[in-house]
Amino acid sequence: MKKSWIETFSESLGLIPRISEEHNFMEEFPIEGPKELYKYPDPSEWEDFTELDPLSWPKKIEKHYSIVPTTCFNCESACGLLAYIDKETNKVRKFEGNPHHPGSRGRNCAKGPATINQINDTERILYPMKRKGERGAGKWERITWEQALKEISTKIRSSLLKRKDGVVYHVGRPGHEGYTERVLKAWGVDGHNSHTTICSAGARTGYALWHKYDRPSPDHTNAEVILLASSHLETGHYFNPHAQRILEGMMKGAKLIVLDPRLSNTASMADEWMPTYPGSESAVFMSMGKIILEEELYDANYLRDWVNWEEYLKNLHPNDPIDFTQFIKRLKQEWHQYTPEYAAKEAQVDPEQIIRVAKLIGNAGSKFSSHIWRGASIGNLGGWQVARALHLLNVLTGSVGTEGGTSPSAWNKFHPSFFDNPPAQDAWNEMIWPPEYTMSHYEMSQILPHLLKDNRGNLDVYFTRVFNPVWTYPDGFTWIEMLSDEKKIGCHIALTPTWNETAFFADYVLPMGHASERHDLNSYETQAGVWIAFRQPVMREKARRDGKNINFTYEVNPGEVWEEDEFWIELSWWIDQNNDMGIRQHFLSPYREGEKINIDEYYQYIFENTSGLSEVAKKEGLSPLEYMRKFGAFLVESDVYRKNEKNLSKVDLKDSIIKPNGNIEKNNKIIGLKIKDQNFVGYPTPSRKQEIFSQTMVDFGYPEHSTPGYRIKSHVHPDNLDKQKNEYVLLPNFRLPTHIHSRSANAKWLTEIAHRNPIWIHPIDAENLLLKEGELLKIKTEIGWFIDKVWITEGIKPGIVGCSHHVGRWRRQQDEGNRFMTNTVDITQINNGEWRMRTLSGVEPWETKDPDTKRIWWRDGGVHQNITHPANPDPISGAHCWLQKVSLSKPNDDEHYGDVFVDTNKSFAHFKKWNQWALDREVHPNNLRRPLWMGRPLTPKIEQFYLKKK
Amino acid sequence: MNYGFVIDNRLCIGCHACTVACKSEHNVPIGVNRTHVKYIEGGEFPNTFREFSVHRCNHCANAPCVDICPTTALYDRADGIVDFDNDRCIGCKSCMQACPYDALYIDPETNTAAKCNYCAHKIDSHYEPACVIVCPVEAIISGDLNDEKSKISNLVDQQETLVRKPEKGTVPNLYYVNGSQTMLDPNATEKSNSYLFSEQSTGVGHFSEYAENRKNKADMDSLLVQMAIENSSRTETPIDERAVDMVSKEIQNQLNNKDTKRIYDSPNKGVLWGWEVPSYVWTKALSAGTFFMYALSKLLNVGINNLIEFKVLLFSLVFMGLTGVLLIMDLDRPDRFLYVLLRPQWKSWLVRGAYIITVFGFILFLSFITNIYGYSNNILLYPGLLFALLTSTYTAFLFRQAKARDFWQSPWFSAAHMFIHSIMAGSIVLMLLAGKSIFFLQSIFQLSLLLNLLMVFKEIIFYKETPDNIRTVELITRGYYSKFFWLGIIIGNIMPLGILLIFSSNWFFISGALALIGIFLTEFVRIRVPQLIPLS
Repeated sequence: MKKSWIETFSESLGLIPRISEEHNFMEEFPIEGPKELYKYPDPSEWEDFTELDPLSWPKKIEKHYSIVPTTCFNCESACGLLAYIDKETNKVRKFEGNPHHPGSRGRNCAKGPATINQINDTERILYPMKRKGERGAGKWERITWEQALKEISTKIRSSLLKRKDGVVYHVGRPGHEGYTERVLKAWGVDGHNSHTTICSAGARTGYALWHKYDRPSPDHTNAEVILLASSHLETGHYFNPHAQRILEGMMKGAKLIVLDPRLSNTASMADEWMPTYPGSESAVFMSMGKIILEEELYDANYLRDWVNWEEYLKNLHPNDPIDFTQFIKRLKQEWHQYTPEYAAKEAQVDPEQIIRVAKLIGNAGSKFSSHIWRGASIGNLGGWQVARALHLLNVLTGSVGTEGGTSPSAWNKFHPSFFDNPPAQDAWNEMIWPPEYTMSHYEMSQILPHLLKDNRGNLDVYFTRVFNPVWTYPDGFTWIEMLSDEKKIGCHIALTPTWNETAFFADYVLPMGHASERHDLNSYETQAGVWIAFRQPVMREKARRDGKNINFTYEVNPGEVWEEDEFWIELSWWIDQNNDMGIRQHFLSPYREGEKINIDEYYQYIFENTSGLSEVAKKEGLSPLEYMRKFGAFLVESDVYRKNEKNLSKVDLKDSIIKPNGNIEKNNKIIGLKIKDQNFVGYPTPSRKQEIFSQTMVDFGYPEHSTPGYRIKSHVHPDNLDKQKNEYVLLPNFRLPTHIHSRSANAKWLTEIAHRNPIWIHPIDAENLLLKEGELLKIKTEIGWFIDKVWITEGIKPGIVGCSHHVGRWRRQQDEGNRFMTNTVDITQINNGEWRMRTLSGVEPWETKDPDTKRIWWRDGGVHQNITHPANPDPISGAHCWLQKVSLSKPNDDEHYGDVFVDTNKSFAHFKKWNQWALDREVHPNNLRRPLWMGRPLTPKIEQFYLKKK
Repeated sequence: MNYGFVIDNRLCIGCHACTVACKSEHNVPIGVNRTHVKYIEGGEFPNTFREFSVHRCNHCANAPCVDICPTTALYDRADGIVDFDNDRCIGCKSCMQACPYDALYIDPETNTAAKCNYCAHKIDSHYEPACVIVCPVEAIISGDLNDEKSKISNLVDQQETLVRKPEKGTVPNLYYVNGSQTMLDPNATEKSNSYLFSEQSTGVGHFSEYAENRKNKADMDSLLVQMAIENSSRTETPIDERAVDMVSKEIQNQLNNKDTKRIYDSPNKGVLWGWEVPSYVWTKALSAGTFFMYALSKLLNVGINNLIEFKVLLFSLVFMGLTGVLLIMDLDRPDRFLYVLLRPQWKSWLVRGAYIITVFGFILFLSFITNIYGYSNNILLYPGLLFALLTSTYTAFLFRQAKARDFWQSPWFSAAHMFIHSIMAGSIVLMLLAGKSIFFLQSIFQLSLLLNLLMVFKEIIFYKETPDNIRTVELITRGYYSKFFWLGIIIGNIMPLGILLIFSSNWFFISGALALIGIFLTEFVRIRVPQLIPLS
């Protein structure tokens, strides 16, 4: 702007301060660069990138950044991030996307840029803490890392010397490829516990029964029809990578079908929203299968070659001729009940919609991509049937592993080579793998406290890492009871960057780095390709660029924040301090004989042994490790399709026999299939085919489930609800687009957007209950109740109420952390096992060096609902069946918003009831604990798969 | 060059990545946003729909915020970007009254206005704005609308697009592909106290001090000051139903009757021109009106005693001083009040008004000095009359520049109304100062009361029937503020007239005092209620 003479004159008189006028914005700028704008700085500029400072704008102040790639850790997708490190302050200024990341391609969801909030969280844990007083009392003292390592290693050593199942590492979000599994193997313990049974167990079981691979990898980009029984346009991994590709597909004309009883953001984008009744999805898919079959829209060639229909006929119809048309005939017979009308009645949707969608899918043929991960498959008893029935549609249309179809996950995931592979552990931990759950996917983590309470055993040392069961899991009060009992859990160590409800009940709280403060190797099946990405501590790379020599990441992290990778190396070294336990030998540098490995060498080895990386790095004049440090990601393989059609090698074929039916057998095992003169490797099932008939199901005592179907009715099926008693289904596990399970309460920009979790209720139901918008509702579960406000919406199916995940976080008056989103609560045990939580105050502003903390304008921190859920372990998949049978009523006068009540005696009885269903059907063919061919994390020695004879 | 945005609603999935990336790029404080995603929901199950719309600065070709800004803190760049310089901003909030898109906010860190500036700092190095590069689905498209080969121009050419409020004549440079009127029309869905996953509050931006005070259990004084945060926000119970305003509660009652519901929105910024603005309009009317009526009476020689000149000038000076104080108090950067005069943007009526007031004040001061030293003569009365007239009426033209408010868009009528208020007040004050009823003043007083009544009724009966105006009038006449409005009519017009008719003109001091209260109430409602109409 041109200043007026008045202004110039006044400035010269000193009446007003002189304001700089750097350039005249009214003039056109000379166009120097290209017409279109750049998205990202070129890597050649990353070591010194100049950008004008937006905070001083319109003054043109140049800021110099060192740009270091890393990956996001705010969900499993590990999207690429670029950390902009301000060279002046030597602090990360912001995170943007990494364009070189093949999965995320430079783009991020809200959680990516919010990483900076977590780094700068004024309440983060900076030093190792040890509890004072009772466990859970909320009193802490700061200790040194040396003391932590010494005390913890002593406890682990003494446990390892006694038993191989006393140390358990329980991880919520792994975020790495096999790192800790290798450590546990080195220790020789069967101690890996995960969160899969509250997450993906249902889907995994359904997929695994077909082809061992337990996860779908849809090629949405090239699909003509996309079906989501999930909400991948807003949440879940791999939200951002998948959403990009779903929309890409849709812009090319693909139709989107979404099954969800709730209008998710995803459903709102759909061409066909099917608000199916929870648990009925398998009926809907079976019906679609029937239509595809009858309309002859199936891929006969694929079925004939790649489905074990011969076994189907042999076992189910032993007198039938082994003939493909006979198989189709029998299938039609088997599925005669799955009429669109029947499915529509179960699902409470329009039968015409089922027919319409079935034809869409059938006509898409090999270009039908589908996805289910949590949703219905984790919600319902028998939810695993949903994934099994959905995959049936991929099989029928011949869209397994095709362009535009759905591949098995493992095809699109990288498997690193380690510098050292310790032997499989010679142990089977029955607290993680109780024998009655023979096909669980995987660790029965949600009933760990119940097994402890049931006196099935105890744990000496228990690590929780990015894992918050007290809040996230069902029946949190039983977790509190068990975590508080030192006889059940000898020592509890929480590895976390931030306080959480579980860390309150730890003996040691050890601060670990956020996304940009740690190392991890990432690879996920986000597309039809294989990539790796390098999560690296960006300040360490910055220090390296500055010529500094950094030995440990904690040297550059804030306070005394460590990273797990280095912690495990150090801890392992401490455990085996006399070098007599055989542990140290697994932590020796592959490059420096006899010396302890360092973290650079660990990744150096992996990257040197990554196919194609060395060549690409060489072109850049870099070593593989340098390449990954610089670019942060590498595409190992693209356009991965039809890997089942990989040919067996000559070595594989040596000593093999080819049977008349085409099976290639070796040592009495089928190793491949001869189809049209080719020797294909097939799928990793016993038949090497897609298993429409599962002998495993028969062997393990569930012959009625030998084929896909809709046989188990959900525990919340209308038949199990009493409408007279105002019984409803609570849909408690849907997520919000800006949150990260229980890990985002430290991200102010994310909590600002979402911080309450009202009960979604349809207007008809609200009217029946005489409820108006915002009024309080008492939601009684089978073990307690909670009080929440209602949100009246046409976006939920009548008869179902919903309550989102993430919200209702709490801290007691003695606790710290997460004040952007935590209510202050009082927790009292009124009688034995009768727990009450009451909200003392909602979210409140407070004073810190971050001025935003005093500007918190929201008060409503929601209600903790998960703690009122009983654990519902599915007897087959092991999944926690999230949906809750609830009865709804208006609260009494003395019951307030946020009140929670739970009776853990009831929850234990409830566990026993559900556990009995597994015990009643427990079968161990040949004494097998679990099918040998099915996946099991941290697979022990094969002998351990057999029950010991008593 | 003409930079603009396309928001492609075929792609937008409502993920809020743009919101957060923007916060990160510009360190935008909690409570305010340069861009946000509004959600609406409608239809009947299972034909329910949900729509997302990204809301932000439209980088208008005809930006009303630039026109109204008194200090060129907001300005057009030659490349189409509407940028701002917070070093120049005085925190007058007039830009927030001018922008029909609710794009601006007061940054609680600097107490100055801010908004999306298209990441001009990145543009100048040829990089795209932060929201564009973060978007997972590439739903935000930036580029040169004048370059016919650009992606953005192709989209605008080949797709059906919508813009927000084209009728405002702002020529927005933000186009929605596959947008809907319902998502873009602020009146199609209502703001409410709580949404799908968030609450609503006014303790943000200009009011963020309130959120800070809540830390110390809300101090009552500041609550009174911040009338935008009404009764229900005062409760100390931990989890309360905080209202944005009483009016929003009323609006909420209408909510259930609407088919489509707003289910997520950024926090409401509240009423930005609080009690200070109607108060300054009032003190200004008294000051200018008193001088005006005195000068007129004197020139017409209608029974005004020269002896009260000192009192008149003193009164006008004091009230002019109060006007100045109130004007400065309303600024979020009172330390920069001189910028209005010394960094002037001449198109702004804030600047023009400031100069008018200054000149008027100077005339008053000169008159006062000459009066003290006994040099009184009539020469200053002529410019005085002119500037008193301008002083009492210019605000109507400032309000007209506040393009966001439909109700303020009849400046001549409004100026006349302000003038009536002014001479009404002037007549009363003069008689009070004289201590007696004077026929000429009494006649003007009664006439202006009648005219005022007519004008008020004209304003609520014959008005331009835009959706915003219909609502404004409804809120004025029937809503929470109707009690102030009707009180203003009754005690400000009907009672004064009645008293004078029933009793005698000697009761002018009572009816006059009531009329003065009435003027305040009428201005209060006229200034406050239009600000409650949602802009986005």
